[in-house]
Amino acid sequence: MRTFLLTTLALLAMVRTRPWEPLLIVFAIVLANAGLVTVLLINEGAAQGELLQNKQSLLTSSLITPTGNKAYFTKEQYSLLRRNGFTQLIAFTARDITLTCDRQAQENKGSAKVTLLGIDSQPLLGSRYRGLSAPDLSFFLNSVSTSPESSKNNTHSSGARVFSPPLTRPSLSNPSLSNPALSNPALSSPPLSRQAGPDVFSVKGLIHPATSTKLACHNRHMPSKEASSGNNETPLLWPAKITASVTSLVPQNTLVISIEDFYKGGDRTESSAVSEQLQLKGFIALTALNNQDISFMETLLRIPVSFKRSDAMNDTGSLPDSFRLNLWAMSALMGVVALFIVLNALNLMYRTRLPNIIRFRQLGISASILTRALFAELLLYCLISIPIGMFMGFQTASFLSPVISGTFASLFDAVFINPDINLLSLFGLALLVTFLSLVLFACIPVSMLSRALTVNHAKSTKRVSLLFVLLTTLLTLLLLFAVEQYVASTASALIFVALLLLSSCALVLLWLPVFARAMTRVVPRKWPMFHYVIANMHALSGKTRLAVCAFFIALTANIGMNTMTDSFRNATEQWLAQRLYAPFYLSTDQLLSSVNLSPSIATTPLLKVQGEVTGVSSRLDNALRVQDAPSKISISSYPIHDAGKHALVFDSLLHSSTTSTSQSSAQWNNQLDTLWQKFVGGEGVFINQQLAYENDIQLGDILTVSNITLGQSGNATVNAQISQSELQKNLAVFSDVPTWKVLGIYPDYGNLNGQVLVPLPFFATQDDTVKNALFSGVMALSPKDQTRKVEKKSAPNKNDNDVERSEGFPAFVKANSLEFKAQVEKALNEQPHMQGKYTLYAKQDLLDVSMQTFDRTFVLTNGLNITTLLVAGIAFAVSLTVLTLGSAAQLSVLRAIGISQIKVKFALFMQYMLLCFVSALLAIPFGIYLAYVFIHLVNRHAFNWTYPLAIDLPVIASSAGWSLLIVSLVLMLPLGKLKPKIDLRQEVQL
Amino acid sequence: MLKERAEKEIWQIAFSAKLSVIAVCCLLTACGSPDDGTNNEVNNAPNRFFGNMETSARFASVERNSPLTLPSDHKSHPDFQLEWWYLTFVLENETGEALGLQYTLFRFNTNDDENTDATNDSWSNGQQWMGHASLHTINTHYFEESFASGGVGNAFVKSQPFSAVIDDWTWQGVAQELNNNSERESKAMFPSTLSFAFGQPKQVTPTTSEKEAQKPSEPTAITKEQKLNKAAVDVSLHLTASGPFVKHGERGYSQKTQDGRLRSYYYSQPFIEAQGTINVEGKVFNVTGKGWFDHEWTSHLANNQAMGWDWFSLHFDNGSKLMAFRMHATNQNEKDSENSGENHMNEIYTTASYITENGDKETLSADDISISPIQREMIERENRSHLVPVQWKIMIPSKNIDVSVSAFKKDQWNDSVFPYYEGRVEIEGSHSGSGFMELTGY
Repeated sequence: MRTFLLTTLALLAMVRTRPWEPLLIVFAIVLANAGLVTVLLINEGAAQGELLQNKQSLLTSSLITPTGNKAYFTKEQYSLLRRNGFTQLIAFTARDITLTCDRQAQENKGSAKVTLLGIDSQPLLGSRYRGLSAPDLSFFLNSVSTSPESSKNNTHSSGARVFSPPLTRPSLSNPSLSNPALSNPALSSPPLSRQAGPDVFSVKGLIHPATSTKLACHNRHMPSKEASSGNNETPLLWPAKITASVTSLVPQNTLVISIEDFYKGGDRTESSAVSEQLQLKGFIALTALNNQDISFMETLLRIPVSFKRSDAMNDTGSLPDSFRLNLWAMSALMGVVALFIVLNALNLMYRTRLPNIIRFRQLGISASILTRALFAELLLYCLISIPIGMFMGFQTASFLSPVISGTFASLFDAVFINPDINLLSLFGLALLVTFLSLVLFACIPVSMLSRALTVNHAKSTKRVSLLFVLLTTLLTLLLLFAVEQYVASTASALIFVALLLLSSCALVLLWLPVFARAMTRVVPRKWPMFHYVIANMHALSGKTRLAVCAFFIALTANIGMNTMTDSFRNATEQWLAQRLYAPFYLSTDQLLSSVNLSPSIATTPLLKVQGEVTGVSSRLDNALRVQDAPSKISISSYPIHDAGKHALVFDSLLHSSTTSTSQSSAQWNNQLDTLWQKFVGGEGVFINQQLAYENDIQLGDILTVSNITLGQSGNATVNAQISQSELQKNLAVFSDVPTWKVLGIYPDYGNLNGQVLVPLPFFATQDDTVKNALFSGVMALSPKDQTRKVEKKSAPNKNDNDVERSEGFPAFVKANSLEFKAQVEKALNEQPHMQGKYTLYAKQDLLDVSMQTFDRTFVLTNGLNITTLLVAGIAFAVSLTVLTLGSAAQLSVLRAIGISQIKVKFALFMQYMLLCFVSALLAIPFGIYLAYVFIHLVNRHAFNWTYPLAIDLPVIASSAGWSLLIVSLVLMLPLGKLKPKIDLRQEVQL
Repeated sequence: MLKERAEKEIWQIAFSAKLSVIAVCCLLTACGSPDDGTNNEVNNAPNRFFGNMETSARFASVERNSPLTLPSDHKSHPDFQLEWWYLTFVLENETGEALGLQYTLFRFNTNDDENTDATNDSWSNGQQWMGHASLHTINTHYFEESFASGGVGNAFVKSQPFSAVIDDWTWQGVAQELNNNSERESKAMFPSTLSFAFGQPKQVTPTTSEKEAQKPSEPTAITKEQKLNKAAVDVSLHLTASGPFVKHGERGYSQKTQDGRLRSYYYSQPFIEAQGTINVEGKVFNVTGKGWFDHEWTSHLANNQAMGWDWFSLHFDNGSKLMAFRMHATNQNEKDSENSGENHMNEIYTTASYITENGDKETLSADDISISPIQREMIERENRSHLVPVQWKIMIPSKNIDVSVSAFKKDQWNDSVFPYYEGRVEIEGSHSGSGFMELTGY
């Protein structure tokens, strides 16, 4: 034991004389852990942040709003409802306001337009809505209880508790005058108070972290003590001083305050006509309401109301999931690359320590004690660097994601004040993972070391033959393709990714010397220096293996990820552009029969029912495969006009003839025409990829669809009508039931559920009740004559260029779109029941919103991309240090024959850049293959849909270019310090 | 379908959870931090019932020389800081099972400034209402608390006819012709009906009923059972009074301390006869029993030394009644719990009203009555436990009363924002009977 301790101490003493390598190890650990924590936090933030959070959760939840001419409820109606037992209703009202930061001397004062939402907070205090515990409770305890506002109520007796209403009652006196807690300059603001007049009062509110960040009212440079007293609150100014607690529970761009304060602070310009009445925008229903409740409500209020159920669950689809997958892959990558750094550093460290280690052995210290001492040293490094890494991870995460910066702002303080169990377990996890992988990887240099201590092999340069390399490559690739066929689940797909990376790595190692040798032959000897560079690179390639591997993996993954994201983006955009065939879309919760538009406007409603696929009978053997668990599908109508036909993007189509692998676009179009005819004739349906993949449905299979039910309509009257007509039982949904034969499979990005398209005329639209019940609330609108024009235009031009087709006709639309929009709006507004009950979306708006969401989701991956490359660059730099030690003798010779130091440096630089360049070249095909695997294996099994791989040269080139740039920058650092001289007495041959 | 519905339900639960978080966060604001360190010795003590409310000159004052008058003082007194209308019932169902029922409406004036008038363009009038509903069966306790702002219209107390309402909880006097003054005094409040539904079901109710309700199948008339908030308990009682109102202290001026610093206006109706039905999770019981009504309002019930009170409303089987009140000081849970017999150290002030079966009242002072705890019960809650004296010895030598008053079941704790003990008691000893006991500050 004593020997062990002494040995460990001796090792640590060596650290002091050569701190460079241990520092590198520490650095690598820090980096890996920072990456891990960043990813964990970003994922967490994504889970509770803007990605899963519906943009207007509070407002788009179950809401009761008035319909008809009366656009508001009154206080009296509210109390009437509550007294009649509707105690789950919470009154709310809203207005758009401009918020500013309440702080003086703020250089770039944040301000933002937000929706001010006043809710009747009093009933929320009742025990019925208490006790539903939420994970964020402790967070609120921390943030709210320490707020200056909580002591504000005690303006008369400090520190004592006063019973006061839940949301702070406005006090006309500026609380900063009487409360020392508010004398914090960051919170009180004389100039702004003046600006707001004497009426300034204080209000407590809730705000979404992203909105809070956008406002940038947090003072990051606040001393920690002060910061902890108000760290989680955003001082804001509207007509009132607002202390806003940050929480992701409220919608974005919304400030939630009590309705009392809302009216107190408000300009009531909009309500001047009815100033004696307080207008309420609607009621939030905290628990479920059924149709009876709604009709009872309407009876009580004597006005019709509209009830909007929350349907926020499916809105974001699988975008966040695929984003998370992306992040995890990145972090795994960072871990691998960090391990490479450690490996390099360990190599280097043990190498320099070798003479001392030999002395230890001579002193009689056993190899096992030495090994243990080395591990103890590593553990120490872990303990030192993991907290640093985690802290950096926190910082990076908050830098990368505005959501997190808001949410976790207080966490940094909380971490040190009262470390919660999650943090400790996170630390434990990080420690375990890091240490175990370190030990595993340390075994390699340690065993090398012990071998070096015992036997010293004579070095023989083995040259692998080109034939061997080619054969191995071929075999490896064949193996990969073979394994690919057996990938059948998400897990195996991910394992395949790992396999792909490893085997490609091996291939690169094989190919590098081959390339180097080839280049040596090509470069003429009249440039001796250059020739030396190339020739030596060949020698180097053996020693830089690890660094090259790290770089290669990083770059491959980078290219793979970027190509995948880019393909996804392109596919989504194209698909959207094509699928949205009409220039305008109308969304309404009114009855379909009541939407009357002028005959010049072509309307195509979207009808929808729910169903279940209970069995599939195969085309080949006609055997019926019964589904164990019927898969839920939605059956949607699809228009049969030509615009619809061309809007449909297909993944695969049923071949009328025998399967031919190569299809010309003409053939494809012929087939499309035939199938379209069949579809229109009801001989079959189209299904989406999700359904096909999930249930393994082939083209030509016949589905057994049962349990067809109507989806819950948003309209209470419709639901009442449905129940009256007992439509549920009769199932007279289809006027003519189509054959459920799968004619085509179409991509349906982001959807999680199966979908079947049925021609619109097959729905029983003659009966108004049925029609209304089927109506999903969405309707495509286009000018009549224009549809015809499109038909004409697209008929001869039947090539498969989606972009051109989709972009083609809107050119015409754009000019007339405003006119058309006005026309539609006029037609709608003429009907009193439609006023304010619909939303009109232009195609371009929908596209823009979708793509913005997409970009927002994936913006973080860019940051991680660069980080990965940076890590790869560092790995390279480390191995460079090893190499300079190794090649010092040669470099000395070079210097001795009179080559200037700068030239030597340049030569070295060139060598590494060449190595990088070669590995970059090799990384490109593997990167593309990786992207293919991501799309067609990982995504396919994880989410049941795929999209076409788009190989975009600029994307790949930029990945490669950036990586080379980063590596060259990193290389500059150690090269500058390189001194080509060495103490030969210390040279030990390994 | 199912999955989607489940998702929706989950989302809804999540949403209500979110709102509850908002609510809790609001609450914290109201109650302040329990550990703000400014007033340590106070914070280590148990919660006082209404926190530490300070008396302020901006509220109306309880004065000895302006006594209360009935029936006009049944109404709300918004100028006073605090007010409550308190109904407790000792009931029996057909099978003789004992029940304890409570319906209380509290009003708080939370205006910061003197300008208490509700203007048309403000949401509320600065009053805050809190309703408590509690039912004790021998096995189960249902409790619910609801809040509302005054001036919105869903919470109020009005006279002519008398009504005390918060949301769909109503206590409503039966409108009738009143001939003379005395009749007006006695009949302004009674007969009346009390109807309220509350509480989360304790038993696992089949969720199918809810799902059926969601199906748009039977558009029939709304029955009471189909009310939106499927409460566990639905109470419907008819109340009559068989005796007069009783004004405590001096014509309703009720002293709570020796020096009169803590005082209130206080009167009771101890002669309520109640009958009606109580639906407990689908089982309907016909119940009868006695009720006790208290109405009290004050701006002087905050004192740093007064930690809380022990209050008893007792119906003796011989028809007489007893209201006993004991203000206590420091926390008795701790050191001196062993020598529980000697608790005069903690006792600040004791007062009582002995009411004969005819309604004649005699005010008793600490010399006339002795109230002492005999046995305590530890009531465990998540954040803290409460050591509550649940058995008492009450002696009034002049009336030959020597009784033991004990809780009829364990754990009669109301988990309110201001938690307190409120429950039915049984009387044994020289007299028998039953009643209610309220213990605050533990």
